Amino acid sequence: MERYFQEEIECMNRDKLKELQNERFLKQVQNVWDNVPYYKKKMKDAGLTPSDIKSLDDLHKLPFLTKDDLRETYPYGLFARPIKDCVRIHSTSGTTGRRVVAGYTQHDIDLWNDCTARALVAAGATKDDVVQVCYGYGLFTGGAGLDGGSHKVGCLTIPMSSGNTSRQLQFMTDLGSTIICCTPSYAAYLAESIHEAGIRDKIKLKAGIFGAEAWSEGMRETIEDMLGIKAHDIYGLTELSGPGVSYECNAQEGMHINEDHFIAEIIDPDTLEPLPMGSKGELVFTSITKEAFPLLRYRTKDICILNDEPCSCGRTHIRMSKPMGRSDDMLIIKGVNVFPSQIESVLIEKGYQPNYQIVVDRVKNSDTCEVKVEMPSDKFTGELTRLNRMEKELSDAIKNMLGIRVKVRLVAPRSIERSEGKAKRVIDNRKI
Amino acid sequence: MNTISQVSAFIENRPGMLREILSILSEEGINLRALNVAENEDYGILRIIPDNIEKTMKVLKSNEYLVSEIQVCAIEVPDEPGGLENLLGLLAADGVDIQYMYSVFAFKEGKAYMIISAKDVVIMSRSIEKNNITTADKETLGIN
Ligand SMILES: [Zn+2]
Repeated sequence: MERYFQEEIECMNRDKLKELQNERFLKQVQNVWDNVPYYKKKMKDAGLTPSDIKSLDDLHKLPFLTKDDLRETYPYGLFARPIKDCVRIHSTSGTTGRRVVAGYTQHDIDLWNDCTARALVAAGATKDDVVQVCYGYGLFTGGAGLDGGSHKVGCLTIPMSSGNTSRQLQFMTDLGSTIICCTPSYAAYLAESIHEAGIRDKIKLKAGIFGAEAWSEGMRETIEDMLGIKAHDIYGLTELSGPGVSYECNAQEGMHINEDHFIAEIIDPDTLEPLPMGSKGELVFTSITKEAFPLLRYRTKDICILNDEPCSCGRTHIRMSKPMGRSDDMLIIKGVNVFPSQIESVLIEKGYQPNYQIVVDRVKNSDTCEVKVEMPSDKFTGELTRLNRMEKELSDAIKNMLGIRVKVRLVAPRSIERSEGKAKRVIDNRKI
Repeated sequence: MNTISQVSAFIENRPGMLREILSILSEEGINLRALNVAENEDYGILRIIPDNIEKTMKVLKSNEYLVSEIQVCAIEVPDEPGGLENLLGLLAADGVDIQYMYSVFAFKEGKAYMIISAKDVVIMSRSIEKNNITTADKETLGIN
């Protein structure tokens, strides 16, 4: 039988849920207007006052917030509560520019912990479980988020933090961990280490909650097979709270968004217009219960699809797909939306390293696309025909994924220019 | 059938790439007995028979080239009109599927040598034995 952490909310009738959202939303708009001068100015510039926002139907009128706004207002410019009411800071490790800091009141932390507790219970957690949290603890939200949820459920919590694999494995076997929380790549690494150490039969794991980075269905299968567990996805952003904005139930068909706290929209990243349910576009969130750091219409830059069909688990909250890419990275080639991450997933599936570069150009009014792929040394046999076959195989697989034919060209290892250690992914030579 | 080691290296089709790899080898004092380039519009594969296999592999790997080593065969070709044609006819009759061939730089006592690579080495080896075709050993080609 399906178990819930807060059944009355998780399975709430949709009309009632909408009523709850509406009430919280209007309160939040007033809260932001009263306490966040930066956003108040944005609203004024758009010719809005709180009286123009009469219900959730007016959500689309509000201005967006982006990471640039968060950097500009660093550190306290978007806080809606004075420091005396705040108890915690978390921060994201931005790859460029200034870090982003988010503040929490004790109430914010309580609600966030409810969210991760829902995710844990959906993965099967009870008071009898031993939860090993190997997300990093500290400024990163992963450790604190799952740790708090685990306490709420009443699980025995092991605050391992990340790294030190031999100690992770020792505690996992000695203490009999039943649920593990970490990044999917670390889960895969732990699974390999467990097999190498030959201690598979000493492991009592039954489920895992894996998030904070992109992972494929193939990777899920590998982790589930190697560890004999059910692997659940979890989604979140420090800007909104942390992990637990949405999470996967046993159906594993999308992540239920905690809609009593977060309102999701999908917009067209080019026109910024809201798109109907089921469309692919950029995910935008409005946090309706956050006190210290309430964001209205925050553009996540994650591209995904929402699904409001009823779920077999009984939860009524809508589901979101795994993020399929970043709107920053989206390319339109021959009229088709292309994300570098899609090409990357093909490469990984075919046994290549994700060292590639997409070169787009326009020849005689028609787009051309070439994907350069660094050849792994173990695939080089010295036969030209084999290289041609490898290119054709990759090109076919990419056509299957994207629906358009691209030219694949194998290049020498480390020949693609790097910036800050990462290969430069896209070169767009089109002059439009 | 005698076999000798061939090194294949991946080279991008940019000006100076071939020269670069050859100068790395000559700086290390490596001599080439045979050389061939197979290419398409984007890149090529350089195939060489060096006088010192181990050193060649080490030097190219340390310069981050993609390399692989395989065994090929150097057949002796009578230095006369129709010499090669005759040999190829013998191999074809036995069903040997030749992937590529190229010639060795040096002559010896009126003989020429061709490096030859077949899809199925066993079939080629049988045909060579059967037809008493001479294959060069390392010493003949001046390989250490
Ligand atoms: Zn569900």
